[in-house]
Amino acid sequence: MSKYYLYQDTDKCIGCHSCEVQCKSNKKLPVGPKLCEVIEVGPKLVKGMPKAAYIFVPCFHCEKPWCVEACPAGAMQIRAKDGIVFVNHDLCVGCKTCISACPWGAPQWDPKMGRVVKCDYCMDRLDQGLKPACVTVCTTGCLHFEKAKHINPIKRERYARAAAEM
Amino acid sequence: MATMLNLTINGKDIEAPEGITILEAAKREGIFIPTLCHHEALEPEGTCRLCIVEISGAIRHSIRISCIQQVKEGLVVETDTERIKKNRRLILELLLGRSPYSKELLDLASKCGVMTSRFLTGENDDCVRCGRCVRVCRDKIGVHALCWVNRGYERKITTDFERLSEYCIGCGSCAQVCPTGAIKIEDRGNERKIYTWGQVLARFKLEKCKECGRPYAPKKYLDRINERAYKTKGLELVDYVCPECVKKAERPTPIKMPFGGGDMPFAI
Repeated sequence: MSKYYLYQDTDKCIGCHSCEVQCKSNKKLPVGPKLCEVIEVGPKLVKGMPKAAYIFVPCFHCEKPWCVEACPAGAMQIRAKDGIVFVNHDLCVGCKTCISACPWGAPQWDPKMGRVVKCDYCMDRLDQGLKPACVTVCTTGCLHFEKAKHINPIKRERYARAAAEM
Repeated sequence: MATMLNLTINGKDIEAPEGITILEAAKREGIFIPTLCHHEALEPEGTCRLCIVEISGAIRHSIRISCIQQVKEGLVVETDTERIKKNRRLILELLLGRSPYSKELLDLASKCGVMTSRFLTGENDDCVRCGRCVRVCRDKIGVHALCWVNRGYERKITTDFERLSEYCIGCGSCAQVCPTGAIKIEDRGNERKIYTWGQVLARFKLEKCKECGRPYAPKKYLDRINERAYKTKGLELVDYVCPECVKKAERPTPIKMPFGGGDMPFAI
């Protein structure tokens, strides 16, 4: 399990997809692969009002990743330092088993390079002390990236406010 | 920590860790050595012979292939001498003899100054007999569906008894690693076909995605994923859902969502 925590404040997200755009331009990806994706759920009628939810789906960096177990070439790896699941492009042979194995569709196929690409929380940026590309451009500031031990108190505060209003 | 060795490539003094090959050391320094059979993920086999370099110093003066020759202390490597260029052009001409229309080979040939081949055979087989596909199938995927047959000029890649392979799982790695695109993978309708010049290697019926109904992967391939990634967790891959539909929120997940499927679990 990665020691980081990427938290999306779903109440604030307006579904502008700028995280996706920034992710793709940071990784210089061609048309097709999306390492993170904002998925629209709805719209549904909630108390007579149409409502839609926008859920940010990156890679979850599992403790026992499906992709790492499925990979026959050892290209999918877990970084020992912080538990980030990443793909070593040099070792990828293009069998795509990781893509079919992942229950959340996190590994993606890069047709230009002929290799699998995947969210690695922008490892190179983290090592420089920066935040992942998606988090830096979030227009409403709904994406938060922190170490798991400093979990954002947003949810608790909001719950407390809601409880107080009652 | 591997011990660092000192060697010279094209007059440049470099340091390289023990155990890597000259080709890898040159690549780290940004020195281009043409090659077709080398793939970072695979064990080197030295079949294409294009990566030849001239070696002196630690070993007696000779021409060796850099994808197999390991670095040694005090090695002096030249990658672009007249002798090397001449030999490399001959190898390219020989390779072009059978594959005169292979785009990758023609690109490499024009880079090395080869315009035409003296050995044209009239064949148009893009396969350059580099063996990447055989190695990936044998060493990485571990299914041994592809193998070499015959010797010398007759040598070629095929399946057991040149029939449709029983062992192939239809992953398409062979097509992905092929440097010239000689092995092709094609999904048409609900059938996947893996074929090379003059032979169909394997045919598969594709399983349909439960969500969109699009045929997307052969049963054997999904069984393998089930075995490697799902059964190790005590789970079973029963709902075949294609990678495009798997992200859609309305889909019932094939596995139990952690935390009772409530909030999106961002750190599982």
